[in-house]
This record gives sequence, C-alpha cells and structure tokens, in this order.
Amino acid sequence: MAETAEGVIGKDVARIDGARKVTGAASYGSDFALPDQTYAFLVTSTIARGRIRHIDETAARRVPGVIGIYTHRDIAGKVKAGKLMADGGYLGTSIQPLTSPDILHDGQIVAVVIGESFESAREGAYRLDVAYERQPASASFDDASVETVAASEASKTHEDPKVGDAETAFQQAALRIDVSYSTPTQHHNPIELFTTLCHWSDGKLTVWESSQNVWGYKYGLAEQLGIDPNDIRVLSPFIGGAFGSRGSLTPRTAIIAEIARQLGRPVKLVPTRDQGFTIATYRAETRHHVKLGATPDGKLVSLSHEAWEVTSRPDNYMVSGTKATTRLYQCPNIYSKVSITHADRNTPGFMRSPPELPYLFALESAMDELAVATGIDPIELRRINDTQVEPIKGLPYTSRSLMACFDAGAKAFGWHERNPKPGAMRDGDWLVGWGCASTMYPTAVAPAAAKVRLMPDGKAIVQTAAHDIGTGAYTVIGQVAAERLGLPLANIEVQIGDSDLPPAPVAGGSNTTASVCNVVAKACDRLRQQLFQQSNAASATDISGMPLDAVLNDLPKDGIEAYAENLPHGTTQEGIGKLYHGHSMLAGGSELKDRIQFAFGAEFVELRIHRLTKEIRCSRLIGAFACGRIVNPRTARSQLMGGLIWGLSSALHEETEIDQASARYYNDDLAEYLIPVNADVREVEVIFVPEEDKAINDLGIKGLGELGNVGTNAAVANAVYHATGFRIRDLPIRLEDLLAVES
Amino acid sequence: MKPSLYFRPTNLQEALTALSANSWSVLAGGTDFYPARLGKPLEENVLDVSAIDGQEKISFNDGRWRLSLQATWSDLIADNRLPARFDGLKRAAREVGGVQIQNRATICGNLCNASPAADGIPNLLALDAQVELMSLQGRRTLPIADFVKGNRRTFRREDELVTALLVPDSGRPARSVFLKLGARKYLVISIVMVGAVLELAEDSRIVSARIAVGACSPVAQRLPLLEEGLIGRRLETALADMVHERHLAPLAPIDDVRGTADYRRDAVITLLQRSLTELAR
Repeated sequence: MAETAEGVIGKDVARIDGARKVTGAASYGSDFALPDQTYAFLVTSTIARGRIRHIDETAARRVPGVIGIYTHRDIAGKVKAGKLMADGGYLGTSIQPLTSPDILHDGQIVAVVIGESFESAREGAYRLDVAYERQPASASFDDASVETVAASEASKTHEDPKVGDAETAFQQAALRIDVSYSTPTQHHNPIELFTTLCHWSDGKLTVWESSQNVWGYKYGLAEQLGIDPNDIRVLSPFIGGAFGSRGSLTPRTAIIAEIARQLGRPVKLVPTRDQGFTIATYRAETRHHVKLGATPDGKLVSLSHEAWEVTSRPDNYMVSGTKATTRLYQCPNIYSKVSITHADRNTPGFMRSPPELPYLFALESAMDELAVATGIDPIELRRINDTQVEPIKGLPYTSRSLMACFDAGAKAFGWHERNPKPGAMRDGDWLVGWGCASTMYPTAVAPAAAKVRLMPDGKAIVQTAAHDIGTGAYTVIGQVAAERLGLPLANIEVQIGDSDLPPAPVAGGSNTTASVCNVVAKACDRLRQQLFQQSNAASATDISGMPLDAVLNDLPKDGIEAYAENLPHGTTQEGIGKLYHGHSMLAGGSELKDRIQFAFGAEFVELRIHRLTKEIRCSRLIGAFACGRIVNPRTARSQLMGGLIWGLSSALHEETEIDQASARYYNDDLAEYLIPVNADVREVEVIFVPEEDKAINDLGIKGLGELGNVGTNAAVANAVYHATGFRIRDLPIRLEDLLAVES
Repeated sequence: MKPSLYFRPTNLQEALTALSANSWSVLAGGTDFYPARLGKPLEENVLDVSAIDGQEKISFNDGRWRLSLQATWSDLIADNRLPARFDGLKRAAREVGGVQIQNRATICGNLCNASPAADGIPNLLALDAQVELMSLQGRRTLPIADFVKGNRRTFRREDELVTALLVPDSGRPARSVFLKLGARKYLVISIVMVGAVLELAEDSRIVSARIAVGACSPVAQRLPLLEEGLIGRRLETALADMVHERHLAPLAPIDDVRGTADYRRDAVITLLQRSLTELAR
C-alpha cells in the first residue's frame, strides 16, 4: 500500500483525547449515571470453600433505602455460567456466583444488596447475615489437597515444545545450571474499580462498563442471560486502567444485568478495592525448574524449563510461557513441561505479559547464573546464543533485533564500565548492582473491521469497536486515518469502545495497534478509491498522493462511507465469522506454520542496596526495544516506560499474600499491596532501536504494550546478585531476603 | 439493630456534655476511623469534633506550644513559627500518608488511634509532650508515655476528650530528627522509626536528649540508657558509634508482614546511628 505524503504515522503527536482527559470531559465506566438509577453493593464470602447454610435478610431489609437483596435464591436459573475464553467462551471463569449456594473461592459474590443510595446499599450489605458451612480450603502449591495435572493432559490443544534429547545433553554438558524459581500472586489493581451500570429499555440491555472486549462482552452476556446479542450494547469509551483485568467478562456483569431486569430500574455497581481482588482475575503464582547445559565457551547444548501454575478447581487456565522461553536462544536440545495445580481459588486470568513475565524471569535469571558460571559477560553470552531461526521447528523470525537492542542499551547504560565481580561497585554505604536481561513478546494480529465516513467539510469519522486502555489507541488510529486519507489529524474523529460499531478484537496480547491500524488503513484506502472513481478526478490507479480538496465539493451532504475487514497473515476466513461473534482470532507469536514473530528488547537496571539496612533502591532503568514501526513515539515511549516501572514493581514490591490456612488474601488494599511511588522511580530511559519488518503486516507494526515489563524482573534479580553476590530466586525481592549480606 | 448516633458539636461544652451522657467514638480527621470500619455496619455512636470552634490550632503561651485537637499535619508543616525542636515532628508529618491525608488527619487523632506504627508518636515522646484531657469533671494532663496504654489503647476515660498537646519549649537551642524505614520510599507503613530531640548548651554539649523508637514495640519507647549516655557529650558525628544493642532493651519488635524482629533490631541500630549523624551535621 502506498502512503500519502502527509507523514502523520510515526510522528510524535500528543494524544487527541488528552484535553478531554485532563478537563474531565472523558467519561470512564464509573462516571456514567442514569436518572432513577439504583445502587448495588456486593456481599462476598468470608470462606474459600464450602456452602452457604443460611442467609438472614431481616436486619439488612430494615435499613432505610434498601430496596432489594439478591442471592442464589433469586438468580439461580436466570443467569447461566459461561465458558472460559480459552475454551471458546467469553468469561474469565466458569465459576458463576449466585447460581448455587456453593463457595469455590475467597471473596466470591454471595449476595447483592440494592439501595436507593450507595450508602443505604452498603449499610444493608454490612448488615446481611450470611452463615456458612465451611470446608477446609487449599490455598496454593504446598497444600496437601491440591491436585496437580500436566497441562498436556488438562488441555487437548496444549503443546510442550521440545526438540532433541535435553536430559542426555544436560548430563554430558561441561557446565550445568540446575535451579528453581518462583513468582507470586499479583493483582492488576487498575485505578478505576470494577464498575458496572446496566439499564433495560424495551427489552434491550445497555451496559456501561470499562472493557477491553466490548463485542466479546455482548456475546458472552447474551449467552449468560439467554437473549439475542443484537439486544445488547456495551459501552466503554474510556478505561481507567485494565492490564488484562477487563479482557474477559467477569460474573458480576450478568448478575447486575439480571437484577436490573428483575427490578425494572437501572442498577449501578461500584465494588470496593478489596472486592476487586476476588471478583475479577489475577496473575497466579508460578514455580519453575530450569536446567541449562553449556559448553565452556557459553554455547547452550541443553535447555529445560519445567513450570507449575496455580488455577481454580474447575478451570484449566494456564499461560504456558515455555512457548517463549524455548524459542529465545539457539539450542539443539530443549525440553519443556507445564503443569497446573488446582486449588480453592478464583480462576486466574490475563495480566500484562501473562506468560512472558513469570517464565522469562526464570530463564533470564538462569542465563545470568550461566554467565557467572562461564565467566562470560551476560550480554556476550546472549550474543553467543542468538539466532534468527527458532530452535523448535526451525522457523524464521520475521525480524529479530535482540542484539541490536543489547548494544544500544549497553551503550546508553555505560555497561563497559561494569566490574563483573559481585559487590565490587560501591557508592558510600550503597552497594551498586548492574543487571540486564532480554525481553520478548509475541506479535499477534487479529481480524478486525472498520468503517470510515468522509464529510464534504473535509472531516472524517473512523469507527471500530476497539479499545483505548490508556495506551493511546484513539491517537494512533487517528494518525493512520489522517495519513491514509490525506487530512490533518484535527479533522479525524475516532469512535471506539462501543459494541454497536464494527467489530475489533479484544485489547489483549498487544494486538490492537497492529490489528486496528491495518484495517483502518484499508478502509481509508478503499474510501479514497471510491471517491476518485466517482469523481473521475484522477485515474483510479494513481490516487495515493491526490489531495482531497478537488473532490470534496462533489460529495453528497452526508458524505461517503467505506467499510473494510482485514484478515491478517495466519488467519482464515473463519476468523471473520468469529469476529462477528465476539471472538478474537489472534494469530502470531510461535503459533504460525511458516514463521515466527516476536518483538524484542534489552533491559538494564542499576540498583543501590544499603550495606546496613539492605534497602533496595533503583537508581536507573533503561530499556532498548525493537518493535517494528512506531506509529507514535510519544505514546509508545509512555507504554514502554510504564512497562519498565511495572517490571520494577513486580520484582521488588508486588505480591498478594494469601493465608495458607484459610486460602484468603490478606493484603487486599493499596496500603499493603505495594507498588512503587514516584520517589522509588528515578531515571527511566526508553530507546527505540529502528526495525523495519515488511513481512509482519502491511504497516510493519509489532505490538509493544506488554514488552516493557517482561525482562525487568530478571534484570533486577541479576542486579541484586551483582551488588551482593546473593542470588534471589523468588519474587518479589525484599530487603529481608538480603539480611545475610555482610555489611 | 440498635440505631447509632452521629453528633457534630460546634463548641467544647456540647462535646463534653455528650461524652458524659453516652459512649462515643471520637472522630477528628477520620483517616484512621474510616478504613478500620470497612465491611462492617457502623454500630457505635460517632462524635465528630471537627466543627468545634474557638480553638487556635497552634499557639504559644507561657513557654509551651499548644497543638489543639483540630491541628492537622498540614497545619504543623505550614507553621513557620515553630522552632527547630519541631523539625523532626514536621518530617514525620510529611510521612503521614499523602498530602490529602495530611490535610485531614489531626496530630491528636494520630496519638489517640495509638497504632504502634503511628508516625507522630516517636517525636511527640522526644518533644516531651503532654496530653491535655477535658471532661465535665475538669482538666488534666498526662505525659505521652502515660497516655498510650498499648496497641490502639489509651488511658483516656470515656467522658474525656483530648483537647490539645502541650509541648514545653525551654528556649534553648535544640535539634531534632525523624527517620523512617519502609519497604518503599513514601506512603508506606513503617518498619522502624526514630524520633529524637537534643537540647544543646552554647558550647554544643548536649544538655538533654530524648530519643524514641516506633514500630518496634506495642507503644513507641524512649531509650533512657542511650539518652543518659549522650548528656554532657559534645554533639559530633562520632556519637553514632555509641549506639549499642544494649540500648534497645525497652524494645520488643515482632515478626510481621513488613519485616522480621531480627531485621527490625538490626535496622533500628542503623537508624539510630543515622539519626545521631544527621543531628551532628
């Protein structure tokens, strides 16, 4: 496809929705209000496993303003449980509360109290008396009653990548690393709470809820409520953070919709922060056993990655990051195996870089251990094992600039000044540690549709049911349309986040920019073609650079419109059918038959660890990334910077702590679930390494939303080792892990 | 369900009358009150003292500073009249939550809530502050150490209201400090805190020393042995070397989610050394 001369793609333009956001004009899910709306407050279970024995509503009903109490007695039979997204459904869990008195996890919804005001609903909820029949609950891996199964047995589609004979090669290897790692439970905690507002009018349901998947929500709700999807509209124009937590439908939405139907009035739910820990999804804890065998000069001869993930009792949710870790380096003998452990927990779900974050923490820490064992510089070790062909099936990468990222990052960081000896670099009482790690994230592109309408005044409206989860989707979609139509960016109005618009995939797997920009470009090109054909202003074969001014006057009063669908490489016609049923057919990463597509980067961390108190402070974070064509360097930098900070947070702070006896979370608030504050984050630098990938898609775009937070975890752990000589293999790394460091 | 009362008196007499007649939970800024009651129905009477007027928030009279029950952390931070002995308490004020919390939360409320990790208490101990309590029976004062009974418990009688904190000011040159250690840099519950006030003679010799440690015992504790050892010494950075494990006798740190007892014991020594080094600079 040729481009117009405008050159808006790749320009560092400010967000087109920025003014609306800072002036409060942008309405987020929680901002919507309707006349005559009622307020819902959730009551959640105080046990993790058992049954509701009895519910006494007397005291709650006496609270002035309470107008309804809904329990399984009112909802069972009216709302169906749904299937997991991974199983072809739309939900993040198959556990549907209020369909029976059974409790399958901590904080499961057991009742919804409806009031004329938020306060009356809350007071009613506080006074609802729920008695339970409590059964012993298994919290996690170490509980005797959990059930662990191989992923290949749990799921027919699961594959454990392997090649050669890893075990024999490991036994014969000159150098061997044989280590275990773990990562904790984490929660997304988007600032916007898990709000839902439902309203019925003439048998049609409208849902206002921040969502990364409005078409998926529409179809999922239709299935759960037993109604026609065409009678449902889901609106999500602005989203106060998501990170995967709003990608699949959660059970609350159908419950609130059903209550609104029974009540005949709009119902608005704003759950509390702590309820958000149990009514939505989370990143489950993982364990890893990594074995690396290498020659004395650092060449990998064996790589084995075995991992375990926690999930709920009924669901086989898994992230299986071995798809990435078995393909990062050249190695002739590779073994991998994933198992899942069923515990009495809610079903986990997507959280920024779901597979890559925990799995690359393990592999990239192990690579650093190998670097120490071989005495080879960590960057050089990666160069020795770099490849342009993935080792499992021998497929070529569409592009891979890993070492270019390391070189650019190392230069900016001053890596050559690093004294490799642990504890050798000091600044007064502070031990200085420098660590680095690779980062990678699959580039997936999904079928999408878009509509563009051009008006006689030279303004254009772009419509697609995509989502801006704070990343800048409005802006990059606008930039592509401006360039392709040959109009100033200010003339483009972008409409997204509405299931009445042409379908777009879930905002997950970092696919939005690639999927949606390509289809918008297609719709714009089609529109120009129609325009010039109609006007006879130019031959239809050479219209790319033609200004629109000449033809605008000929347009009808309501303009002209073009519609496009896009089937990216690796998808089939079936993908379009799925798209119109709320399913996203993401194709890419390691799933393609003919090639492999990932974005890469190198991340560098400088830590200072106080020799007496062992406080860990991060003084510098640098990431160098190669992710194809950058549509907007400003929003891209912002995302990667956010990713680096997230990675730091994940490495040093974040952990949802679970009481092993009761299987309940106990730090379910932002005072005790730690994330860094501004004062914890000093220097952060994002470097773009130029990369042109013509094969990956028409516009050459790779996803980058999740790339930033992957490698940071290992880079931090590697820096801790460099500063202290202590290898911490369990995240998060806290000061108490370093007490034994000699002062 | 017994109905609970909410009362927001506009003068002290109304408040004291109410306290004598009924049992109340006293609410000032509400920043500790609210989060402690999430998920539970309010089944207590609430006496909101935020509207009582006629009290100057921070004043000086007869050699004593008076911080009234409505003085917030932000009021303290903004008050330029306060002498150097308040510098530590001001630094603690900047660590009490974010600015929005500092604008609402009161110094007296922080004390009455009596959390072992309350940021304000070590420096109030180091300032030798007295608590002023009023009831219909009259007025009495208690030293801070005699006011805080234990974890979230005080010796305030049910009919009494804490009306002010009184801080003596000898007028001598003084230096003070507050140091806090948390898992991150800011907005974090303390693992260990140190508050200290030293009064100095003209030749820089230490005339009086008060050093208190928070979050290492149910109630923040002063360290008398260390204080005695400092008196008469010249204030210089070498004093940091004096700090010894035996000075920590009054402390009883526990293992919790924020840190182990061993770590706290180790960290408090470092914080004490840093405090003395900073005071000498």
